[in-house]
Amino acid sequence: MSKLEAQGYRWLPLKEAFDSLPEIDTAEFNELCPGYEGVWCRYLWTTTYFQQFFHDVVVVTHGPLSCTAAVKNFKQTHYSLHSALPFAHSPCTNMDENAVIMGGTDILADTLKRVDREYRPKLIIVTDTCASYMIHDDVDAVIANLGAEVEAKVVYTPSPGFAGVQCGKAVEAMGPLVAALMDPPKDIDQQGVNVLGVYYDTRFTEAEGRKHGGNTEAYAHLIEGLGLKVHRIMNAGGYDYLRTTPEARVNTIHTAMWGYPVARAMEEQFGTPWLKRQLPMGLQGTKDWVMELAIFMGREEEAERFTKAEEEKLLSLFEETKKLVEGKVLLVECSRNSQAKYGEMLAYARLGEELGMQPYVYSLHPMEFKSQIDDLIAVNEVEGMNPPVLIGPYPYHQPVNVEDVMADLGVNEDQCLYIYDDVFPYAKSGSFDPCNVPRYTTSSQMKRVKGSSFLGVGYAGTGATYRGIIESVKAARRKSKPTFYGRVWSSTPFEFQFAQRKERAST
Amino acid sequence: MMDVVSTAAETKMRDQFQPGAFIGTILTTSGILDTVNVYHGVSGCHAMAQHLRGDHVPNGGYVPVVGTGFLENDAIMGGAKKLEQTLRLVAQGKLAVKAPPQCIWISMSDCPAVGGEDIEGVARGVTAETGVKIIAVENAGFKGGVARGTELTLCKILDEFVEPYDGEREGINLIAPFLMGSANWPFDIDHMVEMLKAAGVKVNLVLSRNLSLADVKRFPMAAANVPLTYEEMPDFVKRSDALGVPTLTDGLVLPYGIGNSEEWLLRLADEYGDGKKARAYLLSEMDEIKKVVARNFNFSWMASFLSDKYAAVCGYAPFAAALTRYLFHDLNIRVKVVGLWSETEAGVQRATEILDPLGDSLDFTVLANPTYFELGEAVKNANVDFVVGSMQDKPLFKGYGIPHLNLCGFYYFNNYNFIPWPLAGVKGSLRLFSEVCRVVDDAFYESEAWKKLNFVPGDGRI
Repeated sequence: MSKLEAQGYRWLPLKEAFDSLPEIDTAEFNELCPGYEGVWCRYLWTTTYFQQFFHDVVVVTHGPLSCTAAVKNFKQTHYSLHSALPFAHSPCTNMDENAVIMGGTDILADTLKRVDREYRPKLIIVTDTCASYMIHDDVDAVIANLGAEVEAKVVYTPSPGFAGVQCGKAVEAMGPLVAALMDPPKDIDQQGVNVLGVYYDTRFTEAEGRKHGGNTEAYAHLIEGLGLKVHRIMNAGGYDYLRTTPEARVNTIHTAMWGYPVARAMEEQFGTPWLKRQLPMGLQGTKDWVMELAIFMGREEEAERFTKAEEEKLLSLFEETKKLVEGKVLLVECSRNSQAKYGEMLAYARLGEELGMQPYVYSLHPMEFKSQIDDLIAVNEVEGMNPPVLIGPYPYHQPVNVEDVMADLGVNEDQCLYIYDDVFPYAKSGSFDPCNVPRYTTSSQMKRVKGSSFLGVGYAGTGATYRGIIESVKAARRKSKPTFYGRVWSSTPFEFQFAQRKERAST
Repeated sequence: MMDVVSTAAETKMRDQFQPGAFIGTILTTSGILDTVNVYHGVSGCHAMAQHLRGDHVPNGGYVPVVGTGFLENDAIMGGAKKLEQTLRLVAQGKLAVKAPPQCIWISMSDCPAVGGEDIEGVARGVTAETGVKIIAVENAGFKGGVARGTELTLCKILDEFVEPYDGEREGINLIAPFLMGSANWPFDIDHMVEMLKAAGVKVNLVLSRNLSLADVKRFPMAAANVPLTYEEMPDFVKRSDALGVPTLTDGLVLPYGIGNSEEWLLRLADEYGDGKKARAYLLSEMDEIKKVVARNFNFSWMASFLSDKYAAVCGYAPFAAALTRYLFHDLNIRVKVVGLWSETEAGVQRATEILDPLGDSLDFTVLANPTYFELGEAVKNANVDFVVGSMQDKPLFKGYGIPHLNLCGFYYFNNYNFIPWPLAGVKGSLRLFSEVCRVVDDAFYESEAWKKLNFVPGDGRI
């Protein structure tokens, strides 16, 4: 019995794994996976999702100042620093114990008037927090009573932090809220295509001054390659850009988790049709995404010509990559901290399959997995993927050790490629380091490639990923001189220790 | 002339970076290394606790923060069972630690606090069962800011672990170093302790930094507390007074820059240590500085270049006040706008008292608890060359096209403070000077022109 098996882990095909899990946030689930709570919360997502992407919108937080600090401490600042989002002005009602007892609606009214007078935004969104939501402060009534005193449009989006599992249900709930900010279309641009579900990035291009964007360019390339026009890439821009989103003929999807809920709501409210394929990555994956759009728009011939020409440009790179990795196991580590966001990692798995690799998916927390039904639909129902997933307790968010995964699968350092999401890749000099195990950064947080999509999409993103994989495999050939990071995390930081370690292990 | 503007007095609305009370607990207890924090609440707040806990890691230690897995159903039905289970596992050394800790601290977010979760009751139950001391702090975000949370925790520590003491008292306790407002505070406080020791001042405790739980029992052996914050902490002061340890409540300028360091050290040395030793130490430290920069043309160039430039400073009151004085006194830089953040009125008052003498020789505006919007507009209108602030306000000022140096706030995040060298003290002047040089470069290097005038092979040929 392997170590993982002894700890209660087992490999199951994706769909079967999903079906095997009980309903989330139940006693049965908590028994299976104790201590799960996620990383962010609905309030955090709302304030980043709304406020930062739309530069002329101000979000007023009705709650304690600590809630805005929790957003600014990392997420808002990180999004500004690395994804070109504007600084988020975050006026807050600074709810204290007295307001929790007596209610804080007067302060909210005063705050809204001040924000309108001083900041002069086009749109004010009021978000509440755990405390204000739990005491049932009547935000709608405050807004209704503002009257002519406030010039901006004021919208309330309930967003208590405790509502929903942070990376699934909490995001789903935002779809209708985003659509509610849009206006019914006056005209439909028959060539216009939206891309929904791009989170973590603005629509600004490198030509407009971005240092490392490439994502907007990637989608523009695919859409314009068919002779069509990018209408909106959401969420981004300003209030006017957002409200006119329904004037496109069709919605396409970047990520299911972020895109599907908005697409559904737009279909319901405005009748905007939408296409279900997500994350155009890899030659086949990109072609499938393009063809789905082409078929809908009646552009099959253009699409065949376009994709053929683009594939020809990447063919030799594809072959070179395939030669290096075909037959290897692709270790798909969803995230060592949050264990979330598996849609993007599965897109890399799909790209790996095209190259002849066998993906194994682990550190996907069962709660996140079960709560992200849209990712399952996109990956399994739409694309037909069903790779093995490691299901087990992951108690208190503890990830499984990739070396244990390798032992469980019976593969050595030359038989695998390691990819990871988010921060904290596993590394220990002397056993597992980019110097001896190919490791490629697929984390949207960390991956920046000049002149290419850091989210890995489109032909430029695919090409950059192939190049990255080749370089990772080559880097792992040196089998010596581990990275600084790997040495810091290891009890054997120096190479003179490796031989002693091997000797100890063998005896 | 110093002009003090306080629109914050007119309204309760705020837009500033002020973590909640539970962060005060996390920052205090993370310096007591044989203990564990259990966090009971919603994940968004938990993430902030996890992040800021790391401030104690450089040359310090790792105190885990374990979440109980509080979810929506727990908000409705109560989450005591999860809290109990988590406490039990930690107390048995089966989760986060390999042996039972000396103490477990419980922090909570707004959600269980509004719901009336009986964390004290759960703590008592698990203590009775496991024998491990468990201290619950009612420190939800709406209870106040990080300073209030620090005070609540300090009070718990005094109530639960400190016995009355009748012996001889010597030296000082340094209180709440993380509230200074320096993004380099872990290395700064370590150096401040070195400075004090060199000046014959016994540092009885740094509450908290690199302590064991047993260490906190020494608290009443000090002659006084020296808070490293300007915030008012009346509950703590009252308890400490009762234990016979008075607290210095006047605003003592923090030792950033040479002028401030001299003032800080001599004041404490003359009162609690050996003034002669302190003066000798300052001279020897200055000799070390001179070894690096005296007759150094590179230094003279930059010191001359910095002179007469215009700056703004924005941060927690003690550090922002000290930096303002440093920039003006030590570098001859005109600070035009100072944004002071403080949870209590006393914090702003003490900082403005420290800054007031500058008004005779410098015209500047102090904004008391400004919103980021007010701060940004004031800085833009003052037309300064650069701003010293925190990482969180970098995008604001860079958005105005103003170079920005992040020295304020907390150690986390994206501050590149990996070299264990202080900003504080005479020694720290070398690092402060280097940092200011970098931002002044950013302000004055003609990098945009370089791009436009860059040589392009073949360009201009017919």
